[in-house]
Amino acid sequence: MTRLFADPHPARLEWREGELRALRVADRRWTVVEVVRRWRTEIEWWKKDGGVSRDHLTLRTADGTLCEVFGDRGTGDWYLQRLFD
Amino acid sequence: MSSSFVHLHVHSCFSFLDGTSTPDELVEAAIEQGMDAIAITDTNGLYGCVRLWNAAKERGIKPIFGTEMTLPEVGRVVLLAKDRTGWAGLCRIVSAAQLAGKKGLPRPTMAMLEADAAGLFALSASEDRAVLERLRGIFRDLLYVELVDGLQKDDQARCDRLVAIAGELGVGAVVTNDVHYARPEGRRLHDVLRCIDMGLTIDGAGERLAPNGERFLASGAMLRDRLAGGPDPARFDEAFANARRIADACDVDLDLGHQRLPGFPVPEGETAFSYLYDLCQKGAREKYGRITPRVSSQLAHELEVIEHAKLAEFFLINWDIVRFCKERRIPAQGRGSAADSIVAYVLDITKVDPIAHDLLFERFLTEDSKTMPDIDVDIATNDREEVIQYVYAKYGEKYSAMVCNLVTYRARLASREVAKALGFRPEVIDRMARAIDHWHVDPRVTFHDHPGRHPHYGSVGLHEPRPLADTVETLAEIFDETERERFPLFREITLAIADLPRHLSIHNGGMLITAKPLVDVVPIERATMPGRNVVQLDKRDVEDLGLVKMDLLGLRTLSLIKDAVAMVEERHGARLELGSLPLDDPAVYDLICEVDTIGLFQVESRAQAQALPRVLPRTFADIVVEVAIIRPGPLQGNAVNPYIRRRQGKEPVTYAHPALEPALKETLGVILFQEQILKVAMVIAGFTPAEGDKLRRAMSRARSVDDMEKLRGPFVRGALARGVDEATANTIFGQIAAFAEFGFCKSHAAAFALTAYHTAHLKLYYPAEFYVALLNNQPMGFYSPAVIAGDAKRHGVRILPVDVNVSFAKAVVEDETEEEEGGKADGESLVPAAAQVQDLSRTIAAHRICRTHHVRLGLTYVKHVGDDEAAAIVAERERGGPYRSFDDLARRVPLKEDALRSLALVGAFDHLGEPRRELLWRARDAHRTSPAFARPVLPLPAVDAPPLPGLSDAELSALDYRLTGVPTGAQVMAFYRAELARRGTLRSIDLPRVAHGTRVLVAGAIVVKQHPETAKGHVFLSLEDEVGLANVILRPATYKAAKAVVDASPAIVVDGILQSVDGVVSVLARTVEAVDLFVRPAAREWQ
Repeated sequence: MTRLFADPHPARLEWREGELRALRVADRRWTVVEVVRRWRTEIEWWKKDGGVSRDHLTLRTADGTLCEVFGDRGTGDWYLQRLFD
Repeated sequence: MSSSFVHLHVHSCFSFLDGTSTPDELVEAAIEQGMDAIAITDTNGLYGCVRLWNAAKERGIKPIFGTEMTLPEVGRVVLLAKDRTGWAGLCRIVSAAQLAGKKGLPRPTMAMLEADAAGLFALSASEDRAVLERLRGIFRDLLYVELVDGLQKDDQARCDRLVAIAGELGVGAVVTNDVHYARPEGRRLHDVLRCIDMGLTIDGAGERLAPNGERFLASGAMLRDRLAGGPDPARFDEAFANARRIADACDVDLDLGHQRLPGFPVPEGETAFSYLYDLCQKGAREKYGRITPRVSSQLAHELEVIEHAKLAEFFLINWDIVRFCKERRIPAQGRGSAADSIVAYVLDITKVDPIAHDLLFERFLTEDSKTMPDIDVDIATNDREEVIQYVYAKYGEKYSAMVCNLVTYRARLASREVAKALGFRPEVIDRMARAIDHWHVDPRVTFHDHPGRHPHYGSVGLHEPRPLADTVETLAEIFDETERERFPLFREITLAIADLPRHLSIHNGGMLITAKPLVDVVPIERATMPGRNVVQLDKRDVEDLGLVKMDLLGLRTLSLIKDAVAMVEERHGARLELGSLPLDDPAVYDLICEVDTIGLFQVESRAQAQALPRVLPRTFADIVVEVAIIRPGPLQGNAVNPYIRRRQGKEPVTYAHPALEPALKETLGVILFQEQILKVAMVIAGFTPAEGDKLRRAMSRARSVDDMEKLRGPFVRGALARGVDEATANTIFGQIAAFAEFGFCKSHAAAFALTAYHTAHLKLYYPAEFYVALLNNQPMGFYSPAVIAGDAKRHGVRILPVDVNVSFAKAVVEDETEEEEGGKADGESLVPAAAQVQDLSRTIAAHRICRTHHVRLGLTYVKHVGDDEAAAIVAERERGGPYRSFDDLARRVPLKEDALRSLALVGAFDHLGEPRRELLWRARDAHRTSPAFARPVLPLPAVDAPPLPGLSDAELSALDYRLTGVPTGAQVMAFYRAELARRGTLRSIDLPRVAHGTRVLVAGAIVVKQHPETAKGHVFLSLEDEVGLANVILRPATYKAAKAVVDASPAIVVDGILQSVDGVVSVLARTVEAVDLFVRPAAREWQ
């Protein structure tokens, strides 16, 4: 089962020496132990709003949670989009 | 920074509509990434390999040649040539796949891979173990599993799975990025190209477009970073190292010159050279009669060079082709620099005596030449296929094929396809395409295609090329909101797409002949023409490979000459031997000086018409200059006006250095011929002829100011060593550099001048035969058939309408009959027929041999009447006698209703006394009786036409323009003359009598629109009225204001200032007003 958030939660990623260490969402902080997958979406670039340009990561946290976050490549803002139960 | 990684899977723009970058751009990008090798693996072809080879050689990196193919059994496979065997394998596999399928839809099979896998690496991204095992069975340890992480959702996981499978099977893995554009920004163009290819709009393509733009030539570090995740980051190290290993193992040199000659059968006991030697001696005796020491020594010198360069067979092949033509009475003659050679002349390959015209052999061939010399043979277009078939038969289809021609994006096509992909509405797309001028230039193209990109561009004051978007921008008011919003993107993409290859077509005449079977050497594919194959390389590629290429070019003028000569023999009993005509007939030069040149080869254009009264050629050498002078090279090199002023005695003949006098004396101190570059380099910089020609070639290939500057040093140093001061050396270098790219070689100009002379002779003495041949060989030349018809009438040659009982498929010469002296049966004549055919010329009127012959139009000129219909009409007439009526023809000949109606409307039955409108009324009923009418019907009584009025002259004229394009009666402006005269509008014939500087009104149908790039934005129009042509010049600002009228109107009234200089009359337009004609005569556009 997965939970896909209709309104993704704003998130913050903590990096150290090029390695992703932690994910913060609201008041919670998860330690990241593995970047399971990453991919990039850049579509509809011809549209007036510039389309969608995102980096996506699937992360495994220290408590075993698997989640998907994406970063808006224009603003640099990150969001939690999905949790895998 | 150097990189060990090498890209082995790269699509260039030769993966048509699936790659955006040229091989040059990819090489450049690889070098920027510190890479020392790069592969190009275009889809189903090796189209870009020679360009990659050249670019890589030039930039010092290793080229790797390959292709990507998709097989039903194993999916996509990338093949890379390890060695020369691998290259032959690539050629054989690509060719076999292409020939097994349809054009554009190759069908590769496993059997093809199995047959020619030797020397090939294969990459597969299949996760199917059975597929990989099957491929391993074929390619053994040269099979690699391909890992691509393009940052798409499943890429990383797939790479993990693939590396595991590879490990299990003991197959190597290799990282690639399946590149489709050199740089990230190329993704935008790539998406649009994909939409064009799929016939989709960018909004409708959805997931058929890549989800991101990562398929660029990424650095090795970036690709490592993409694959760095997961539990064991080192698991891909070997796959990166394998990219290096494969690149190191690949080593293919495409210099195929050593196996270039196919061999030529010679009599027993002879070698190719001894046979050539004998043919030359025999030919020299025939051509010269008495062999002078100069002829003898030149022949000996050339034969020595030919023997040294092992080119005897090459000359024999060309000799044999021309011999075949002669045997079949097919006009053929060598053009280009080959005419510099006395060997080519005595073998009768070329027709101009290089000794008499002081031509320079070294422009054609030098002792240390590395490339094949170029012999282009012009052949009468109508007979060219017969010659090609002869070559196929002689060398075999396995050893000969036509080279390809790359069809690239030009302004109109780019505008249409890009706008469609961006979702512009169809009606807007049409308007945009119509607004684009024929002469629009694409700023991205190389200067080889457009003088605008020449390194010396700025120095000669040319205007910058215009992006096509600048023109269609003026249509902003018809755009909707989305179109307006997307217009900047349209601009961006049309700039980027300009000059990209779109597809292949067959080259006009280039034929490759190989020693080994073609498919061992080059890839071939199907041409559109049934049963014909084409090499996946263009003319230049083939030359670069050092292979033998024949250029068998179709020249319609030679068909014209052949037809006219045959008619002259038939009608006048005179067998013209044009080849042996003395070239000093004063009447021919009178004709040319009178600028009575419509239809003449090379000297009929508007620019020529402007130059002729100033140059006033009186000798054959003058015509050679005239042919050479109206070219971008002399125009760009600012050579035309100095030459003309010197010829007119208005400025002294000077030389930048006294040593130049022998080389430039014949052209009054101005460089007009390519041969003169060699001579200048020899006398000023002390170059050998070979070095001089190398300099000329290098200059013509220079792609930038830097390239040109590299050539300057040796020239200037050589000049200094010979005591020429630096400033003078630089001046001379500048003169030859500006000229190098675009000038004619003198030999080429001389060959063309000879043909020009022959056409002038025919027009002068046999105008009726000349016009018939000219009309029968359209399209050719500068003017439309309507203008040619007008010219004929002005020489007293009437254009007689199509008649079902007299006309043949093509136009014929016909004697005048009393009946034709009268007017037409239909309608009331506003313009007496006799007035339309006055001979207004001077020279032709005085010399013509045919005096009462006219042109009877052919049946195929009529819309909806093709070759088959015309042949059927003529055959039935010859079988069953003349047609007695419209209904009689309809019953006897299987014609479609459209054809019957067209024939009726152009007056093909007028002589049977049947009014055209009545026939139109009866056409449907008549067609029901035709053998072509498929459905049997009950015989219904025909309905008689009610009384219908006759057609007016204007209506008759409109029908001519619409249905044949050739007015048999009055030229269209005659119908407007009364009104124009009331407004004080002059006729074209009146203009020479008006004083320079006078304000005038002149009107005419726009028959030629010309916007030369060398004219700094000026536009030139030729307006035709009922008595001739008027020249109109539009300055850039005037053209901008008048463009909408000029684009949309078939005819205009020009208010302007008359300019009359040196006998050249033109009107400099101030304003332009549309004339709304009842017809739209054809206009031709030229750059």
